[in-house]
Amino acid sequence: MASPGYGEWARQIFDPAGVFAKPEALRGLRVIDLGTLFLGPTATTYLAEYGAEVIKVEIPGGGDTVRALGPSYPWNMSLFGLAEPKNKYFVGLDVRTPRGAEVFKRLVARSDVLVENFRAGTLDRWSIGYRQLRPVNPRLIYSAHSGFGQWGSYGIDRPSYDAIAQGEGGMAAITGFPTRPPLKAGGYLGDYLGAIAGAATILAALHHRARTGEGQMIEIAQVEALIRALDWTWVYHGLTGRHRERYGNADPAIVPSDVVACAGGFVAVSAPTDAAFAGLARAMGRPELAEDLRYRTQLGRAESASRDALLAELRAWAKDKSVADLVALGDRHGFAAAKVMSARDHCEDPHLAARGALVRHDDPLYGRFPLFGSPAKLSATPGRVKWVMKPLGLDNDFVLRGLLGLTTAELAALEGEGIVGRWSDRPGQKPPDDWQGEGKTL
Amino acid sequence: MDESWGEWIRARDHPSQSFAKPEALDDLLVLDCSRASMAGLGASSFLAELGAEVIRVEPPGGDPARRFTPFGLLHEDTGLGYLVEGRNKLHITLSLESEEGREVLRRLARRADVLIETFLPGEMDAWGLGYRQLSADNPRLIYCALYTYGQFGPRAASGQPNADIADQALSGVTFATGFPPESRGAGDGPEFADPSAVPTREGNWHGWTLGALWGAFGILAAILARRAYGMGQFVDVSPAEALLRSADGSALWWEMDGVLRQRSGNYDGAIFPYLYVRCRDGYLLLAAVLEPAWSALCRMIGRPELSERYRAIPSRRPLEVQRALHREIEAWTVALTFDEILARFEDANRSLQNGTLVAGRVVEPRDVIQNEHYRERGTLGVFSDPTYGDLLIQFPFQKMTSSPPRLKWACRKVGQDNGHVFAKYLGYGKQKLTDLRRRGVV
Repeated sequence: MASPGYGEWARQIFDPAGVFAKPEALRGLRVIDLGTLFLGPTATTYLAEYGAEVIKVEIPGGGDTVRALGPSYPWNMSLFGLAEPKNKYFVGLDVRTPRGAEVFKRLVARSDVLVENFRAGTLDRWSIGYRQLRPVNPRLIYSAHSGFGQWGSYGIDRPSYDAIAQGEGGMAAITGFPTRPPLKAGGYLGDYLGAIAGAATILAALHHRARTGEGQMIEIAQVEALIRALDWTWVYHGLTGRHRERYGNADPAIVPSDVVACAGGFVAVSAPTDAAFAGLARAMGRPELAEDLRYRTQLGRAESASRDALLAELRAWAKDKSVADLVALGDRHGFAAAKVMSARDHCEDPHLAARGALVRHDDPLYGRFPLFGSPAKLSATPGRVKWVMKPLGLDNDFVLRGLLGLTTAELAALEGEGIVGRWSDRPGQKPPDDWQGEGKTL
Repeated sequence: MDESWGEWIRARDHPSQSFAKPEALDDLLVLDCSRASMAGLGASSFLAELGAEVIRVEPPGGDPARRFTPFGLLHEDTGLGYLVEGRNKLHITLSLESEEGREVLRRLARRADVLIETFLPGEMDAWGLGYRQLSADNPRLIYCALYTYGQFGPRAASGQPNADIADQALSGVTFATGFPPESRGAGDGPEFADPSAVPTREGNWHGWTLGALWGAFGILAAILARRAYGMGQFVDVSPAEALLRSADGSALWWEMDGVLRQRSGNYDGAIFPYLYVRCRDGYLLLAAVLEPAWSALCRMIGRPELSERYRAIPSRRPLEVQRALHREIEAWTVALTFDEILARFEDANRSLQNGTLVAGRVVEPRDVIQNEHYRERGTLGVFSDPTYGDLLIQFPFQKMTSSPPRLKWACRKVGQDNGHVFAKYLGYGKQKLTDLRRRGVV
């Protein structure tokens, strides 16, 4: 039982309306995002949400593929561009050219962190890899994100694709039903896993640097992060010689735990503890199940025969209930019952709105649209969204003049050679049609 | 720079050198009070792998999470899920249900940098162990609570227990994962014949995994903020909201375009071909979305007219088009092995200017285990644990040159480190411990 007033106290200290009155956890940290799509760039998005100054460096003309990914282009920006990059500064600089690389090195000298997700060794070939940058800035934390790692005998020269990682790491093989093929997730789970894993590792490296002054290189391979995430798969094989299969929605390790079809939708139902199971048994009108020797303990319920019988009973019971009934029964009896939510549900959910987990972002360039908020709610230094993806090169002046001191003549020369550049006249790169200069920093 | 990039970096971040290097977080003391949640355990594993001293506080009977195990299998009385996430932690027991146990925790919390818990919101607070009370004695404490619905908002007081499958269902990922009902009139619901064409959870505990990583990220951001601002804070993480970030863009897609991200089996909702197809010896990811790869693929499978008919990417988006094109592609792939397909793609790529034909293997867990790459990189392998013997287990996933993570031990028994920890932090010897044990406190 919670003490009275706990919920109200918690709401106050985390109040989403008070976020901009509070300081930022990563203020003063400068990060370079030299990545494309999600595996690398999203790691820097997370740092930017908590206050880091992230400078996204893109090749002029095309830029990050996320700009071309669509699937649609409201306000001339790709949907994923609106959804994913946050609070970054956008610079168009061709780092593949010697003069572009020289400017880039000056930027690195002034930065704390660099994240990239090119194929292994690409930046080294362009003379801006870790071994060339370390002498420029020994305090630099350089995080290289890839599919299979920077060295080794398998796949390291291949581009990193989320669906390859899910396939190669074994995640697809253990997802889905035994009668159907391995199943790809309905989202880029491998990319997002690598992104948050990388972002958290970068923070650990910053802590190490604060203690020792030492920078370092980090390797994040998304297949390896997925292998780490597959919980008991590997010990199970080692101890039993059997390999993990696809078990459908029913979890063989927590019983009961399943997605059940009910009137009007699907609900995840789970009783991870014996107390929760007793609650579920009461809700089912079968309190005696919690006393039954086969079902009384988690271990008993997980044995195949009792599990199958129990799940059959659960499904038959849930079939005629509504989603709301099942959720309310979970609340009343202390077992987990959660609606399989769609994006529409998210947009309409008062709980997510109250928590700032679904925010109605009002963007300086584009106006208002829904975004998912920063998942770690920090009471004193919360995350926040200020703006999303801007047109390519919109912050060239702010960064190249303001930070690096390039002169008008130098900039003009670099622009003349196409080394520094802005958007081309294509959706995903250019400003909205009615643009009046909003969102420009200098 | 005669040395290749791969050789250079391998010589600097190979995990065989980890124990010769310092640890990033070895100045941090973490109390992990999580109960029946792999999200809390995963967060403390992340910190422990990077060097934090983590004290696992379990009830005298052991954490119910020790019973999360496939088919009820135990190894040395420990479930296989827990066996993976006990790593590098010192295991003590303490009854938080007794005032004496709570007083011991208060004393430990005065010394700690971080506390992690997964109780229902306000439960620790009601015991006098909440952030309000503990921070009064230790303002530098970072207190991280992980709960499916978070610490505030209309659902925070639902009373439902933590459950991975609920996190997955709430995140929206489940809604978009799985095979759609066949187009011939059948709908979703309990009367629907095929139970494998339903919203589908990820096989692993992916909600808990994301909760764990966002917990670690929030904690480390708060550690860096503490360095800057001097105070600790409360970190509130909902694993459901953490996984929600992997469904990024879906809220926007719904509100901007009225498109609800639906499950589409092994297709992608927006682009084609980016799918899993059958081949002679298994499944593969096949991607050839952009030109000239798409035309090259159509030529290769002997259907050059398809690239004309479906030239624009959006024309390939409807599910029935994807199904028809899938059949055409699979008629070709099913006669070839993965290696044969890969060889043909690599051949074709050599003569393509932009855009590539991509093939990736969809493997079974045993293939991951047998892949020499992961042994060589220390991704997973056999670890000799002092308590549990030889275990095939996943190692930390990051490579770092200066302060790398490492595996010291895989797991400990319930209360195995009572003697060590109580002596080290409280000065309790054999006599006192016997005393506490008799009263059921430890």
